[in-house]
Amino acid sequence: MAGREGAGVAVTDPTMLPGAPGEGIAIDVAEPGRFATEEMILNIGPQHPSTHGVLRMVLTLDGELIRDAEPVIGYMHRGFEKMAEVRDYRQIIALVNRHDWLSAFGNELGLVLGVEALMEVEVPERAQWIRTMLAEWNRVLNHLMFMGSYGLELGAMTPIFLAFREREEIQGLLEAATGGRMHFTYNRIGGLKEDLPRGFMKESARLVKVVRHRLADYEGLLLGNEIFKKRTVGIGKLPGSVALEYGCTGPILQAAGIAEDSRKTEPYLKYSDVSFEVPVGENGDSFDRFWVLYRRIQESLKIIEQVHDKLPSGPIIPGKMPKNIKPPEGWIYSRAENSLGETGYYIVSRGGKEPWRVKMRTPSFSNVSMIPYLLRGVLVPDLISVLGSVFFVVGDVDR
Amino acid sequence: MTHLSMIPAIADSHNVFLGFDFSNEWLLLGLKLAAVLVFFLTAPLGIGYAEHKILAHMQARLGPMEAGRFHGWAQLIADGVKFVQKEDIVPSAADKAVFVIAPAMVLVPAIMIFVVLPLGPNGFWAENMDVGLFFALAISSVSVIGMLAAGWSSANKFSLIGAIRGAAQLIAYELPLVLAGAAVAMQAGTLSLPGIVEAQQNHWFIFPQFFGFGLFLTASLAELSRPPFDMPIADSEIIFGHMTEYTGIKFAFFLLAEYAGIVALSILAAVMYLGGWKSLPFINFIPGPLWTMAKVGALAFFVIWLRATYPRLREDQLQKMAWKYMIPIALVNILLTGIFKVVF
Amino acid sequence: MIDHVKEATGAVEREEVTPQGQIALHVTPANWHVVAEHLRRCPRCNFGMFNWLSAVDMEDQGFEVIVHLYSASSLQAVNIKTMVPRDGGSVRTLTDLWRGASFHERECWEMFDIGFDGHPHLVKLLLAEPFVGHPLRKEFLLMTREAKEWPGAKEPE
Repeated sequence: MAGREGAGVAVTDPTMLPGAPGEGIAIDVAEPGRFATEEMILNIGPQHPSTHGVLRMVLTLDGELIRDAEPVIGYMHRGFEKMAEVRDYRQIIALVNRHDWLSAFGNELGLVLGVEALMEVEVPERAQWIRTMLAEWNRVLNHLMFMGSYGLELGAMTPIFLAFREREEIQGLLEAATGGRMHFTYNRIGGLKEDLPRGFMKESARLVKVVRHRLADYEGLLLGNEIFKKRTVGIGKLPGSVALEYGCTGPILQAAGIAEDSRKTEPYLKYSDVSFEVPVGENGDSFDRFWVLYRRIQESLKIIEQVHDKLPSGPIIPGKMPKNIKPPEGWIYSRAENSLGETGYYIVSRGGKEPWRVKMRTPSFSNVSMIPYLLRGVLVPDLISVLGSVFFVVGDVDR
Repeated sequence: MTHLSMIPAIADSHNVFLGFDFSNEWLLLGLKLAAVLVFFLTAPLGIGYAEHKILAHMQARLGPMEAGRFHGWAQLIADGVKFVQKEDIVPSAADKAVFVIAPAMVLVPAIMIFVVLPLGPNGFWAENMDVGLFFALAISSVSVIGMLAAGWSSANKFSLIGAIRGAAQLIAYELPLVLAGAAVAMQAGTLSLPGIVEAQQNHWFIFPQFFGFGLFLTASLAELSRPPFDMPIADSEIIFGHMTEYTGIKFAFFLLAEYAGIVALSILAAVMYLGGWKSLPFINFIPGPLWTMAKVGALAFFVIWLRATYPRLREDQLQKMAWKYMIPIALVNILLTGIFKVVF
Repeated sequence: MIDHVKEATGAVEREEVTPQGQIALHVTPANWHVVAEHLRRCPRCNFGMFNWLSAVDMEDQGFEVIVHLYSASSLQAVNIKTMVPRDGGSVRTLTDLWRGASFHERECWEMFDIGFDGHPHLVKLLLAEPFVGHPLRKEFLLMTREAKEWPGAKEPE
């Protein structure tokens, strides 16, 4: 037998060469662990049925194991921050609607709250209560969508149709008040555009009952489904401290075990006057992220009902609002707990009617930066399960 | 306990077809071929339309409503016409000969299985083979080769992944399917499909073969790549698996083969477990073939219902289920069937 | 808390508290990492959450780089600010303290051309590959607005 050399055993006995009588084939046997494989680069997206919009992931695969994942973003970059510098404050409201288009009202909130704080404007009570209610309806809209689409990515076709059925009804309700199904532009600096139409409260109360009743369908179809559980429990665990490092907020952070919710820790609007819970997950896996969404919808419905009871009458915008909004010089960082996380605006004003700088802190930007951490060491079939559970909207990521 | 002698004589005469006696062999042959083809082309259409409508109503929508004016009954016919007139694209890097042949490799076995399926007494079948069950199960597994050929020759990473997943899945679930069928054959004492139906005249085989029924249904779903076992064509991951690069009539053949498979395996399950054309007691005035179609309809409804409800199982969970759970249960089922046959 | 940080690091140039109660610590670019590290590692401060990092164009004074940190345990937020020169300004990267700083610093670099020493992968994030220039600088004009007057700039009636 021939000698050992380097990484393998080479059969070099001449009687064992191919063709020789009683021969074998010359094989190089490598020792276990030193078998060289090449890594494959797989591109998911930007057009792919399961990424939400134009997100591109460049995966480095070793067989079916993901060694590295890099999100490539920017396909929807529209330059909002630059555009905000040439618009005045009222026009920026229409601009920031377009971040998280599934729950557009919440995007406006951070901005108007910031400017109102800078100008020290007193927002009327009725406007604050209505803002609270609409923010919660938007949260329900957003979470319903993600509940449906996550099921679709895993192969359950039905929940997304049911989700859209609910969303259509809620969007009809909001259209009656604001005039838009998706981009509401209902906030104004100091209050709201106009008061709610007649019949809104009755319809809203009816819809709360309907949505609550239909939520049971999701529980049966997804949360209690054995196959769904098999595909999401224990997959994509995110520890709380890592989530904080990346700046994740919203349902992802709460699923990771940290009860950080701006509505509770730094209450704005009327959140200190309503009672609700912040659901906190145990394991930080995909199932927990989904479960947190489900619970947040229930809590939002509770808040909406309380607003129905407590809504006062009165004006919705202070009478003495100047035509040109010119906050005094200074800066402020104001945030709101939007559906996907913390949407904040760092506004620098130099006394003019346009801001000097608006930095838009969007939740999906930080959530997407966390994806490489989650995906390392995951097998390809679980990629979809993990990616779908990190809830983001591409408009939010790229601004 | 059923002895072979207790099975009433099946219309053995080869000249009986659809209840009529034919003396001309060639006429008989032509009629049989025509009948098989017609049934093959129309039954999947019915099932496909049912799927559209049932899924739609389960998902709070209406489904096809336009084609044919009355609730879109002609939707699938319109789809067929659409597919025929589409451009036939063959990817430039694909292996052309294999690429073109692959749909045929999937379709022809699907047609051939209809030759042995009985729909009613007195000749409602094309051929009563003595090894009918064996033939049916064997021919249905030939389509794996077609799936692999399609995936490989497409020159597309996603198709290849889908084809390999499909091949692994079909091989894994072949065993529980065949083992469940073997238990039924033992129970009936014959492999001939009309014979199996006749052996159920006292009670349907679903009662003694309850677990076998479950195994057979699950394994057939996996054979057809239907949800929750549709990982090989998981459209949120690998676009459409081995069928990704196909267009036009070739794509339509794949889909036709899938729906024909649902019909075929439903008929097999009805024949093997639900008594085929045997009616429920006291309702004997409804003819046999209608009973069979009713049972097939119920099974198809169940299959479609599963699609609406369940997400898909991951590939390794699928394999685990087959090898670790279903095959042992199937073997125990055979053992118990054997014991009961001997003892009672 | 501010006094504690001032004592512990000795690197805070001045502090600023806005009328709305928000805190900013102004430091020199050289002390950028020092103060951030203290806020991260010190168990009393425990600012484990990296919220965002960006810059503001202060024209002749340079760029004001701001990082906003949050502590989930004490529910406090703090800004650290520093001023870097317009050309060739840079600060040390914070990615060794918080992994999430990576994306934010990349965006800040591509928008303002501020260097981040030690950043592992400083390439374009949001802008397309062939894009030339650094958009959020004030001298980078919004071309659509140069071409045509912004119709919304008219005073309301």
